[in-house]
Amino acid sequence: MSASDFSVVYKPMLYGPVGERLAFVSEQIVSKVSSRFSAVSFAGSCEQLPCPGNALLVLDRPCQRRDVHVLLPMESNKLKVEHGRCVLIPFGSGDSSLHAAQVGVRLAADFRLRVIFYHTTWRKPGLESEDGWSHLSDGARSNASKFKELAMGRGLTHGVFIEIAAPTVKHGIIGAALQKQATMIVVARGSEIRKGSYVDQLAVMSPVPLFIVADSKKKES
Amino acid sequence: MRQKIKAFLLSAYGPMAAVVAMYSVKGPVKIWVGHAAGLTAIVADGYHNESDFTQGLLAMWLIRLIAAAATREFPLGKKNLASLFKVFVGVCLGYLAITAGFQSLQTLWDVCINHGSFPLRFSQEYAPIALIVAMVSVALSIPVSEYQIRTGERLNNGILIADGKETRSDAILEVVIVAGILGQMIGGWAWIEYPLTLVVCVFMIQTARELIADGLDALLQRSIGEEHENAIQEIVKDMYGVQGVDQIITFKIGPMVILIMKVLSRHGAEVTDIMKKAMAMPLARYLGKQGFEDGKFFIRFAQPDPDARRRAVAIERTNGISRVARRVGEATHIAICDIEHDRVVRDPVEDVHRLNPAQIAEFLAQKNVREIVLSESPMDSMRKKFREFGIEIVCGPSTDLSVYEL
Repeated sequence: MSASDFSVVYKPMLYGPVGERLAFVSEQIVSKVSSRFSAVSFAGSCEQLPCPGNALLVLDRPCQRRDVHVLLPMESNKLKVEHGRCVLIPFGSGDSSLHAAQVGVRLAADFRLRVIFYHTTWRKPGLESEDGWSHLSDGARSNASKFKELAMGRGLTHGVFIEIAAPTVKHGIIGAALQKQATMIVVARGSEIRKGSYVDQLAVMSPVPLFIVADSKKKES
Repeated sequence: MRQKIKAFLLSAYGPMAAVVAMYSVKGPVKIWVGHAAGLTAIVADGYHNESDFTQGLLAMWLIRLIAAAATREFPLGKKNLASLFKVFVGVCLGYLAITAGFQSLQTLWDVCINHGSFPLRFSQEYAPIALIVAMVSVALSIPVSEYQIRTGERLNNGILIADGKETRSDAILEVVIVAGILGQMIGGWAWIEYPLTLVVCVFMIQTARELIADGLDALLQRSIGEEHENAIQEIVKDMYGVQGVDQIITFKIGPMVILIMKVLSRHGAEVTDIMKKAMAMPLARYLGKQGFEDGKFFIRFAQPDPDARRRAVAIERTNGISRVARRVGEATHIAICDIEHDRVVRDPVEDVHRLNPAQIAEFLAQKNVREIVLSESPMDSMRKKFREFGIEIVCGPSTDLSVYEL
């Protein structure tokens, strides 16, 4: 059994090249994370699809569900998983990134990829240093150490990439994902964001496949 | 002070200063000793060194010009001066090789066929001095040429490399002169330097050809090569969001590679700006590995062809429930889907319940539909009838309209 161990992978039944692309990516996931099942096709909207816990939906468009994992291949024909690529996990000072890191690290282990933890920070007033670590908040610093332990626990090659004052967070994440040749970006939704979550911004804009981790509270309910 | 000297020696001016200093002494000494010893080759080489001295000064001036930053008038700098200099050095070297070779042949012809004598009378008295001068000259030329070439490669300076290659050719010529003097001193073989000079001329012409070709490649903006262009395309295509490379032009300005590329992507300017920055790094890394140490990239993005086409979906609508019809004859409606970039962007539904299959085929042909989707395989006769109108009947995977993005 694989580390990620999704209970089931769903893909929408779509006629034409879009459907073929989603089917291919779904099979890539299935072949890496479990040999027990095939990806299950569904017709219609994903919003009402009854899913067991820990299910993964491979979709062509963002959906509003928070109780399941969602992978958006972002019009890519396949997940690029060649040697040298990585899983990029953006993090902040909150708990949501810890949740993303847990799933992201397991995915990286399944795909035998490196893990890069990415953070963009504001420049601390009056501090000239170009070393990102010196501008890091306490929360983010604590998260970074936890993530390193997590990756080391899995025996994964990992790195922490801290960018000082990226133009915007989404620009920073996408730029880092492209520069570091990320196979996918793994993110989790913050629980208290009312408007313009980074996840939603990335889901609209990113050219790199986006893995949105299920909200653990929603999953339990 | 010490650091200033070190910085000077490590700069492009250090080796050129060494070259100029070396030739300022070598030229006059060789001309004097050559005449005194009665050695034509060493006299000729002395005059050649005099021209090398001038060339060295010219090179220093050009290095200064090239180092100047790009301006509005010269947006890519003046790096092509290096290419121009390469051609110049190549032509000088070629001219020297041809004249030296021709003179050697002529002397050999005069002596062997016409029973003439060698141009200068050999003097045993000055021969040892000439030998020492020639040997010291070799001992100086070899390290100085290495100093030039290595510094040129480190600084990616074409002028230094070209001039270094020329200095190395001089060193080989000087070795031949040493052999000639020794031949005359030991065995009285006055002829020995002439065939040896011919051999050296071949090497010199080869170096001249390389320099001229390299300089002209840059001046005439020749592509850096298909294999590099293919590798660049692969790097770009490997990036998420890139659908293809529509155009690629590469050439060199001096040592700098210019890459002009049109990349196809469906993303907007906000994302393609990020992509452009991200792709510059692996491209620079690749060019660096291939020995191109400087590069400037002009990358623009364009939308790929939308591959616009029309697909029809036969719909059977009964009691308010719609599903994909099994046969054309059962279709009450037909959705005519406009497809762009593989997605349905418009899907007007037409009522066709009064039309028979042949009329439907004609109607769809008028609408430029290429394929019609049914939920079951049609009979061959029906397939054939639709093909007459250029329409392919395909069997879809489901009766659910959402599968076809309806």
